[in-house]
Amino acid sequence: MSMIKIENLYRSFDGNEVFRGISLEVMKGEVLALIGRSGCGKSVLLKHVAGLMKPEKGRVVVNGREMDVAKGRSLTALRDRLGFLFQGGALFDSMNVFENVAFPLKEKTKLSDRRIQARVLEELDNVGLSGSEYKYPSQISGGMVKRAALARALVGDPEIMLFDEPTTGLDPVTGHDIIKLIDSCHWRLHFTGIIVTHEISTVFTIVDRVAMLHEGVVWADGTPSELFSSKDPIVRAFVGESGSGEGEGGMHEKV
Amino acid sequence: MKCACDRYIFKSDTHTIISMRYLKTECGKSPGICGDSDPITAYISLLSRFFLTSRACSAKLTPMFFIKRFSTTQPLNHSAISAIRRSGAFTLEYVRRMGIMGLFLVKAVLFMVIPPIKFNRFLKQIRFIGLQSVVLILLTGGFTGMVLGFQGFYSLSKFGSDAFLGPMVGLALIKELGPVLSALMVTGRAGSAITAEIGIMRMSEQIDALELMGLNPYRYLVVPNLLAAMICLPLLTAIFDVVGIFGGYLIGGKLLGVGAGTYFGEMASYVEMQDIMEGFYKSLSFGVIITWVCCFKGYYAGIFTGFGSEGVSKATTQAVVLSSVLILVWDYFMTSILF
Repeated sequence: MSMIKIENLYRSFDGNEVFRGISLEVMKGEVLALIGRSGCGKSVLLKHVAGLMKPEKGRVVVNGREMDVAKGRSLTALRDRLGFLFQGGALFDSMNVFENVAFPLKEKTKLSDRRIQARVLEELDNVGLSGSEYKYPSQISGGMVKRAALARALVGDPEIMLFDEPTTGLDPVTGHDIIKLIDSCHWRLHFTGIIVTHEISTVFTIVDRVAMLHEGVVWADGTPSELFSSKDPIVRAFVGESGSGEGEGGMHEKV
Repeated sequence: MKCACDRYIFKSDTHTIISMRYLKTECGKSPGICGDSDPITAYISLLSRFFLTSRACSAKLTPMFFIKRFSTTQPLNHSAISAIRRSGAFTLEYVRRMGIMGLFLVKAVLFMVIPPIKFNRFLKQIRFIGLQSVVLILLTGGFTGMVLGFQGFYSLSKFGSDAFLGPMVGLALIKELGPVLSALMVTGRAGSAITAEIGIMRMSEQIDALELMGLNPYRYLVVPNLLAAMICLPLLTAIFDVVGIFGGYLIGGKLLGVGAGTYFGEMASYVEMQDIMEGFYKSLSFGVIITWVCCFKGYYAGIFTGFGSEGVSKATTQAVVLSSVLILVWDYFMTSILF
């Protein structure tokens, strides 16, 4: 059963066509890695799935409902089942880690304070942040911000998780840890996921499928091993070099 | 061959020189297009050829020439069309933004009257906009009153009516200076901070995060500010007025010798409830203007003012400037309505 279905999506910014008919499907429980050059619209595609941006043409169907036309309560209902890990974490900087993770529960559920506290502490323990509950986002490292943001995204038990470059800005070891953490959370919660990434060598070990965006369309789509053995020169240039573990630095930037 | 207009051509901009060259190659003649040595006629002829597609380079520059040129359906020069197009696009964009800004206020007011209201944030903003501005208001109010005491006494004593210093200071503060100056102070202190805070939240995707949690950003970011400002601004204005009146008394009464009875007695008989209500309505509307403009500029920081820290700084500047201007313009209209 398909959980996320993108059909013939078109979108342009200031006359610059970013998507020229993107079609993509993610099955329930599947984790998909979305790769492509910087600026090819990977994060923008993720925001379309989350309903933060509306397509000019085409449809985005999430869990059987059309995200692109959803408004008000139906949009809220769709988003309640969705978790989003932002590139910079997007933690509320006026709140500490505990308050950040507790925020969605406090605002969206009628749980008692004690149960919220137990749930938040459990989730923080899962992501390895026990002991840093009362620190503010400005007082913790980039890796810890990502962990806290992951805890906040997972605290509502989402069915769909969207990860926007979870390892960007982190050192290779911490980046690897975050990917492993995402994998373990997937085994625990069985969510459907999309990971936008440049970290091909690590991410390919945990995903079921890979889609590559190029020139506004899905250029390649298949299992990680299919992409590694692809004969397509563009895929080869991307996967071949980045596969050596250099991550973003191994890519050719479009001049 | 070189005619007198040559000198003028090379003093003018590149466009003229280019068009001059174009003419030269087209008619195959030297730059002496006007056929005489009058530099002004030559320049007019060049300009006319710059704005109109012209083939007849030997046309006489009579008024009829211009009338015929402008009345024909010949297409205008490409650069002229793009200039008109640009100005049209600019106007449309600004009208669109004004519409968005208007809708922003409508939504904010709508979510203000429909519960739930985020009480904790509301209290926090009361503390920020109201309580933390009190010292500033005390200081500015006191000095405004004192300077009014000096200036009022100076002007009134010229007519021998320095006994009316009390009503003069009181009316000036209550009707005009109190609401306007405290609103300007709050704009500078709290308004700029509101824009910067919301702007940074926009840049670091915190507003997107709120939306994705299924929570309404207006309820968390705009409504508490709007409510807090609507409550705090009249109160701050009242403090400004009282401190200002005592400041005026300090100078007029203690320094320049107007009696306390005269100062306060005359004030009580000349300042009416209507005057106080005028100041109240003004400060209430200024509270709405400040939060409306400052929240709007922050909320659309990444969209209308460019990205990153520069976008936030631009948004903050625009917010302070626009709210200050709107306060003064709206003050004029309020005065003319309530007069």
